[in-house]
Amino acid sequence: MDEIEMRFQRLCREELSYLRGGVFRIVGNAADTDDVIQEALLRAFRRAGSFRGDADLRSWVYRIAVNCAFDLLRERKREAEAGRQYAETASEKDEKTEKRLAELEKAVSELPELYREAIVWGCLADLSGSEAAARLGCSENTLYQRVFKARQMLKKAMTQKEVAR
Amino acid sequence: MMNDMLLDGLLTQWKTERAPRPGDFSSNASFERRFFTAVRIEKQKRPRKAPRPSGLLGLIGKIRPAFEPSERVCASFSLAPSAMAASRIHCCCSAAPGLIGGLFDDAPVPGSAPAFDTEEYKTVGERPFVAVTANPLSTFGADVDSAMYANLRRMVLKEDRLPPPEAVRLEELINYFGYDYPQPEGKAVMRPHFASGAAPWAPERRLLLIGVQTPVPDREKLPASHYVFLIDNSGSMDDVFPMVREAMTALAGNLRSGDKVSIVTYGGDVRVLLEGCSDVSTVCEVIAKLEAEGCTPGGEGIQKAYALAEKHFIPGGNNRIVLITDGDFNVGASSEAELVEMVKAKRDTGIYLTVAGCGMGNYKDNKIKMLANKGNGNAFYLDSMREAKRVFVHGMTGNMYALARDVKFQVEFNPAQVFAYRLLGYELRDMTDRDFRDDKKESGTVGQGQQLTALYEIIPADAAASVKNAAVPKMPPLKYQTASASGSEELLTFRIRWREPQGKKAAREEAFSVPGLPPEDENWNWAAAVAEAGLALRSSAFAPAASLKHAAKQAQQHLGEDPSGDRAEFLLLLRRATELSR
Repeated sequence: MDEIEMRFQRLCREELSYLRGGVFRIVGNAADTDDVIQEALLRAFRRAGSFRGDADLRSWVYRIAVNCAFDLLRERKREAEAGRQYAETASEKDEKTEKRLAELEKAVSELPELYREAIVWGCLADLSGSEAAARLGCSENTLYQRVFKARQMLKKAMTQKEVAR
Repeated sequence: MMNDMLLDGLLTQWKTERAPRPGDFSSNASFERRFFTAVRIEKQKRPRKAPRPSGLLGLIGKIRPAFEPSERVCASFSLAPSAMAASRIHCCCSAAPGLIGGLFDDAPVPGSAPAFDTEEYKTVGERPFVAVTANPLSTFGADVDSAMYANLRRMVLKEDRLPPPEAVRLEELINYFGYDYPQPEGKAVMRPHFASGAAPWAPERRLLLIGVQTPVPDREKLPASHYVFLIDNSGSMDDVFPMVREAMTALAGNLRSGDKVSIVTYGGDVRVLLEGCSDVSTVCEVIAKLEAEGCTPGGEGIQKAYALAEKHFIPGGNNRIVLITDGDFNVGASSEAELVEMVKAKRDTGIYLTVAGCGMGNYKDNKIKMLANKGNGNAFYLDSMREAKRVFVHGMTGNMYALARDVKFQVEFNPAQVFAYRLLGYELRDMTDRDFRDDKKESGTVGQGQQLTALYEIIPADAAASVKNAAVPKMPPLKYQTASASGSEELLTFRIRWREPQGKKAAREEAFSVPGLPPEDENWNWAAAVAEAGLALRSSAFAPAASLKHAAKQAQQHLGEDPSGDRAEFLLLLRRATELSR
């Protein structure tokens, strides 16, 4: 195992459970979650030489994992629409909330990258504020500002949808 | 209207309702396995451009660690690059269980080599059997490395897991241990020792041991030394500083009158704490006060160290920089390249470089080794106080005093006695036969009182046809070669070539012939047990019968005196590995 592989091994050992926690909440099942994380790690591996240090590599993987996860969602949706099977996501018990969640998910997926990852790692994953900030390579304060801004954007986007309805 | 409360509610719902449940995921280890399989496929998908043989050889010359071995000296083997590529192909083919052997000898024309990828070879390659009629010469260069053993120990004893097969380097395993080889007589610089016996994993094949011993020096007669300790005292070294202090104090206790010590630290800034000091108590005082601090180390520390080494240079003496670091030089990519260039430029000044890596796992090992290689030096990984003492105290003369440099070995097998041979390990160490007498080709350094051990599996010329065919299948009989070699009964001739540690004197060469298969001895018994363990850990395609359990049994029987406790530790490691492999 060479130096680069060792780095990735450490990264896997230290971060896998957190990565899984975040990505699972986007893609909704374990198999896709692992696929997404593997893809993110492989992309990082392909450009392993360009990271300044372990922290740099880690932040990059956290970011790419979110991108890959939402890419997968879009992919899924496209396939579903092609087969005209989509729209059965709403459960009967609380159709309204499910719908709202789906809208929120869509709104999050449309956020700019920085704000999207702030929501995923700062609010949805199993990381504390300081842990998430460390992984995204920013200060805790910056993370909170991004989350705040992201929430404003989400509120706006969701309100517009309500109005449109 | 979406407000904060609603949004909070939705986010909380998202977080809780869509959380993974325990048991959703496979284990982390299985994810890791899957990922590294994907990495391997990724690497194969994008083979590196095949360099021309000359370029490759040049590259190998650069990669080869200039070594300066302690008890764990290794040798590096050599093969035409094209042949290595062929062997890689072979290894892929022979993955099926029970299919042993190689079709390697028909070495392709230089330049026609298929894509050769060191990385890839690292993971799959094993040296196949080579027919003596096709390639009677086997050439390797001296080399040292102990990182693999420290790594193995960490994985098995501390982390309770087996190493990935490709991480097991047989040569490093075998050379980690000390052997009882006879001392060179008179003024001889090296003395070879030969032993052989039936290979434990394939009794129809013979396992040949070649051990090389350099004279254990009379401490009083050693040349005066000037050590420049260059110590990384950045914050990341905090955990290992107690070990560093203790190791250095132990080494300082070994200083003799006339020896000098300089100490340079680099952390927040570069500081010279001691310059050319020959008073042991002052040295110890300074060492006791060492503390980790700072966070922005720069590359100038090493420049300062070389400047001090030059200033206090002892002509004809032992001038050495000892860099102690966690390997994270933190000097940025460009200055890292400059660092390597500078170290390389100092090669011929007679100043040697020892790099001791410590601290966090040894994943910076390559970096550490690279620097040592460029600097005519050696590299160690200190994973414990015990290892630090091993390197700086027990192995001090070997590690710190060079005896010969550019040390190369060549074995010529007699086709009348040996049908085929296979060197164990050394897959990554390359030297072609013609490099042996090419003194421009650099090789490793050997220290005083050191040992080097290499093992060959050989198939005697009188072996049964089935054994021969299994090893080297589909060999057409050669029309123009005679296997009689003037009827000689000699087994092989072993040649050693080396240069003086300093100066530009011409290389010297010595040849030793071995009359017939040498008998077994205790050295052989121990080495055979270690080799079997290594082959089992590697899941070698050439030794499917190798077992950890059998190796442990043999090791226990042949523990010998084991003054250092290294063998006992290995036995412990083997037992743990046997349990883990169940």
